[in-house]
Amino acid sequence: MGAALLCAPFYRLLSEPARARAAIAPKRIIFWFSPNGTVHKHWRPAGGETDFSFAAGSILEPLAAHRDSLIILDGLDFVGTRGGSHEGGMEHALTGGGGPSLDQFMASQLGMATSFPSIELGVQTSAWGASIQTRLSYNDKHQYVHPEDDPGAAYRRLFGGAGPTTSSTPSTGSAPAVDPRKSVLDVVRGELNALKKQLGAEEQIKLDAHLDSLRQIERRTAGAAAAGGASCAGMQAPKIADPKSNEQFPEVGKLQMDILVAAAACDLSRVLTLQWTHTVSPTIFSWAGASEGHHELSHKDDGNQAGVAAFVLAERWVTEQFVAFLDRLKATPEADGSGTLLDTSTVVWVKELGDGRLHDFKSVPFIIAGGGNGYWNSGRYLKMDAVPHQKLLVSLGQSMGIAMESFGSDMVTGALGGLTR
Amino acid sequence: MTIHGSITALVLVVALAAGGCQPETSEAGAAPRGAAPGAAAVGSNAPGGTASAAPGAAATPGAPEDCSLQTPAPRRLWRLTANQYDNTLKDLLGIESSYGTGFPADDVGVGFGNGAEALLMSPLLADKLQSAAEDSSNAIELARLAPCVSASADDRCLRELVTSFGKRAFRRPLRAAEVETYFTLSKSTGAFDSGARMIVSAMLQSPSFLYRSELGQPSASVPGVFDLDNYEVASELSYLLWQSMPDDALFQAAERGELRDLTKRQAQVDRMLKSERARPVVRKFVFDWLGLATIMTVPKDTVTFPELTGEIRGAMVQEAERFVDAVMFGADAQHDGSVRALLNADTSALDNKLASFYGASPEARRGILTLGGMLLTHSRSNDSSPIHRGKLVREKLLCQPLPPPPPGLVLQPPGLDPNKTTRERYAEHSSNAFCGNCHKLMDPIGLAFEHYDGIGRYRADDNGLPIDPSGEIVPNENQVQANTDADGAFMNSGELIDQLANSQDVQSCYALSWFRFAYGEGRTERDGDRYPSCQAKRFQAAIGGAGGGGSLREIVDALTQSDWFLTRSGGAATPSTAEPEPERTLPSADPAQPAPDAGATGMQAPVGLVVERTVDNDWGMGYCHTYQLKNTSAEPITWSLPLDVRGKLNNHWECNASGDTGSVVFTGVDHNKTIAPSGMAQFGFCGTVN
Repeated sequence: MGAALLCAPFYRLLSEPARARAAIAPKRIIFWFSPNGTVHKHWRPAGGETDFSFAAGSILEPLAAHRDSLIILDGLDFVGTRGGSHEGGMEHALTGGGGPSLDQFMASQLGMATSFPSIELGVQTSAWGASIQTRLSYNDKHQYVHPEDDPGAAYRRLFGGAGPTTSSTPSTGSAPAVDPRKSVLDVVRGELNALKKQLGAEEQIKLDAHLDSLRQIERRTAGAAAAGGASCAGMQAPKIADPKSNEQFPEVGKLQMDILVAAAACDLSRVLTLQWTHTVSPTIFSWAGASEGHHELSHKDDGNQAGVAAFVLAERWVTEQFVAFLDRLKATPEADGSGTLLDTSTVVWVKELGDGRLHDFKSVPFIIAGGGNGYWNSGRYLKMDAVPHQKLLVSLGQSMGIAMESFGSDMVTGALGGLTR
Repeated sequence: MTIHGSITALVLVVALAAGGCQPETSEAGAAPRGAAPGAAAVGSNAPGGTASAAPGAAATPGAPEDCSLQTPAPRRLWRLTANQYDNTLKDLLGIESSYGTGFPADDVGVGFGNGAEALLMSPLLADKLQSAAEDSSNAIELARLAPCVSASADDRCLRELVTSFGKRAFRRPLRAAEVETYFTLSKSTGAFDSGARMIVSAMLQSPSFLYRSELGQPSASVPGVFDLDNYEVASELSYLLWQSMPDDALFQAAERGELRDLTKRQAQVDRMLKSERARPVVRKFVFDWLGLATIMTVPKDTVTFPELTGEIRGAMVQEAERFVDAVMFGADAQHDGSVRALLNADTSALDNKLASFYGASPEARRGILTLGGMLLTHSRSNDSSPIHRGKLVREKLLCQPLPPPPPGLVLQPPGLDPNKTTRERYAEHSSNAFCGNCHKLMDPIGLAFEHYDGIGRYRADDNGLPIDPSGEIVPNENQVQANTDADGAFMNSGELIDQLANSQDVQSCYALSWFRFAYGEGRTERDGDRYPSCQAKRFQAAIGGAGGGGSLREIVDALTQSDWFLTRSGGAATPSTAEPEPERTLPSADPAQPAPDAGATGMQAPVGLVVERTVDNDWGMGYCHTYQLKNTSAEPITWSLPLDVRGKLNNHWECNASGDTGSVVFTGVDHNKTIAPSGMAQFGFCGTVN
C-alpha cells in the first residue's frame, strides 16, 4: 500500500526533519463521523455546482447558513474495502484499504508539533466494546486507536495539567530537577526492552505497542508543548452523571464538541476526531422523535414514507449538531489573531455507507467545511461519478502539507480535482 | 439471479448485530465496483463471493493447525483486562478501584473481551494507567504495605518494601537486579514517603504488573517447550477463578513448589471454586457468552414499551444473577453448571414485581433462554425478534457464527403491523430463496419464542392473532460439519430447549466457549473464528469423552489439569518426536542457507515460517485450500513447502508446484517467493479426488 511507505512509527519522527508546508494550508483538520449511511434523495442538494441549495425538509437544510463554507461531495465510492456492509465501511472510511487511518497517518507526520499527536473523542462509541464496527481510527499497525467517550476524563487528560508528581522542568542552565515521571518511564521502558530481547516475534507486537505508547507520554512529560492547563481551556470541567445512557447522548455530544473546540483553540493537537456512536448504532434519537434505533431507521424502504421521514428527522438532528459545531468554531478566535477557528480549520463530515438500506458503498456522503486558511474553494456542490474516495483522502493529506499521491490502496492514485483555490 | 436496486418489493430483515449468510449464487456477492485486485483476491477465497464476515477473514481465519503435534500454546504475555486491573488493585493495595471502568474498551473478540492477542497497550490506556498508578500510590497507607514503615522509615525499609510489595505486585519474587533498580528509583526523590510511593507508582506501570507472564523456563526434556513456573501457574489459577492476583494461600503453595503437582493444584482449585470470589467470575462468563450484560442499557422504545422502567431492568438483572448462581453452583444434578442445567433449570424464584410484570404463562418458564433479561436483550427496540433469538442459538449455543448480509440488497425490518403475526411479517425470508439460504438458520428457531415480547413479557397471542411457536433447527451447509445432533423440528420453545439441552454439540460448544474465556483464545473479529485451535479441540474432546455432561466442575478441572495448563511452546524448535506430517512447517531449501541437519540431536534449525491453511471448500470429490505463510523470524525466507497432495491438482495460484499428486513441493512465484521478516505470502490450489 502506498501509505505504508510514508508512515513512520512515532519513534522515528524524533529525527525527522520538519516538513515543508504549503504556503496556504489549513491549521488543523477535524474529522466528524456519523453512522449508517444516508438516503440520497433526501441528502443531495438541489441545483448545480455553485448555485446549489438545500430543499425544505432535506437532511442538510440546517446547513444553509454555512453554505458558502461547504464543499458537498456526491459520488465518492468506497472501492477495495476489505469487508462488506457496515463493518467494511466503518473500517474503510478513513483507511481507504485497511492500513492506518488518515488521521493517524497525519498525526505521525505532523503530530510532533503539538502536545498530542492527535485527539479522538467519542459519543457513546463503545457499548459493544472495540471492534471494526466501533472503531474509525487505526495506527500504522492497523491496531485500534480508541476514542475517549467520557467528557470528564477527556477534559482531565487534555487540560488536567502535568500531574501530581511531576516537578517543573527548567530550561535554564541550572541543574534540572529529577522528573519523577520521567524516571519511572525510564525504568518501565528498560523492562520492556529487556522483555523484547527474551521473546519471539509474537510478543514484539505487544511490546512495541507499549513502547510506542510510552513515547507519547514521555513527549508530553518532557514539555514538548507549552500550551495546556485548565486556564487555556476556557471552560469548566464537565460534569455529566451517566455518559453512557441513551438519554444523555445529546449532552455528551455537546460537551465533547466543547472540549474539542477548546483543545483546538489551545493548539493541543492539529488532528482531531469526533466520532458519534458507531455503525449499526442502536441509539434511539428520541429527542428527534425517533422510537427505533438509528440503525433500524436507516433501513426504511422507500415505500415506507413514515419510516424514511423518521430517518430524515434523525439525520437532520445530526446536521444540527454539525452546524452547532461549525458555529462554535466560528465563535472562537485563533490565539494568534489569524481568524476564527472556522476560518483556519478543515472539518470533514465522514460517513461509512452510501445508501444505508442497501449497505452499499456508492456515493458515500462527504462534506468539507471550514476555510482552511483559504485553501478550499468553498461554496460548491461537486457531483462525481464513482470516484474512489481514496482520492479525497489524498487531497486531505495534501492539504495538511503532506506529500502523497496515494492512500490506502496502490490502485488509486492522485488527488480529487476541483477542491482547492 | 441478479440483484438490482429496483427490488423495492424485496423486503428482508437485517439483524441488528449483522447476521446473515453468503448466498450460494455469487452474483450479489460480487466485489465492489473497481475493487483493487488485492481485495478481489481476498474475496474470491470465500465460498460464494465476497463481503465476508471480517476483513481478512476469507484469507486467514483460524485455520486448523497440525493437531497431531500436540504443540502447547505459545508463550505469551497477557495484559490485564480492565476488570482484572480493578480487582487486582483492590487485592494489592486494599483500595476500591474503579479506574478500569474508564479504560478504553477492549477488542470484544469472540465475546469475552479478553483475547490475549488483542489486549494491547495504547497511548490513551497508558495515560490512564499512569494516572491510576499515581493517584492510588498517593492514596494508600504506606504502613499497610510493609510493617517496617511504622517502625523505621529508612533505606532498609525501602529495600524491604521493594522486595515484599514487589513480590505481590509482580506476582513473583524480584530478581536482584530489579530490587536494585527500584531501590535506586525510590532514593531519587530524596524523601522516604515520596520514595516509597514512587515504588508503588512505578510498579503499577511495570509490564511485570500489567501483563501476566506465561513464558516459563525451557523444558529440560523437550526442545521448544517451556514449563510455567509455580508463580505463573498461581496467576493462571487466580485469574481464571477469581479474575485477580493470587491470595496468600496460593502464593504459599507456589513458594512450596506445589502447583505443578496435580493433586495439590486440585486442592487449590477446590478451595477457590468454593469461595464467594468465584461467583462473579462464573456469572461474568455466562453473561458475556450469551449477551446478558446489556440489560440495563439496551435502548427500547418508550412509546411501545412504557412499562419497562429502570427498576424492572434492575430486577431482571438480579433475577438473571440469581438464576446463574443457582445453576452454576447448585448442589444437585439439575444445578451442576452444565449447559444442560442452564437451559433446563426452572426460573420460578421471581420477585412479585417481576412476576406480575411478566404475566402468567400456561407453562412455567424454563432455563436461561426464557429469562426476561435474555429476551429483552435479544429483541428489537419496539418488537420481539426471531432473528436475534435465532442468531443467539446458532452462534452461542451451536458455535456457528453467521456472516453479515451481502451488500446490494434492500434490507428493511418488517414494520409493525397489527394485522399480521411476526411469522407472517417475516415471511419474505422463507418465500425468497435468496434470503432463505441464510435466514432459515435463524428465523425458524427464533420464532419459537414469539410468546415472549420485546421486553420479555409473556403474551398469549400476537395482537389478537394466534402464535405458532413451532420450528426447526436445520443443518448449516456453511459449516464444515453441517449437521448437529440438535437438528430437528419442534412444536414449541419447550421442545426446542429440550433439543438443545440434550445435544452433545451444544455441550461441545459450551466447552469451547469456556476454553476461549479461560485461555483468552482470542481469534479477534479480524481473524475470524471458524476454526478452534488444537488445544480447544482437545479440550472439547476431553469434556465430551468424560461422559459427565460437562458440569462446571468438570470443565474447571479439565481446564486446570491438562498439560497445556503447565506448558507453553516457543523459541527455537517444535518437537521432533512426531512422524513428519504433510503440512509440517519447514524452513526453505534456499541454497544460501544450509538445510537443517536432520540427524542432529537436540535443537532443529529455527522455525521461522508459520503456516496456516484454510479449507475454502471441500465437497468430497474435490477441494480447494489456501495457505498463508508468515515469516516470524528476523531474516527473509525463500520458502518451499512440501505437501502431500490428496488426489490430483487441477488448479493452483500464486505458486509453483513440482508435481500434481502425492508429495508435491510448492514454491513461490516472483513476487512472493521470498518473504521479508514479519511479512506474509499466500497461495492455494484445488484438487480432485477419485
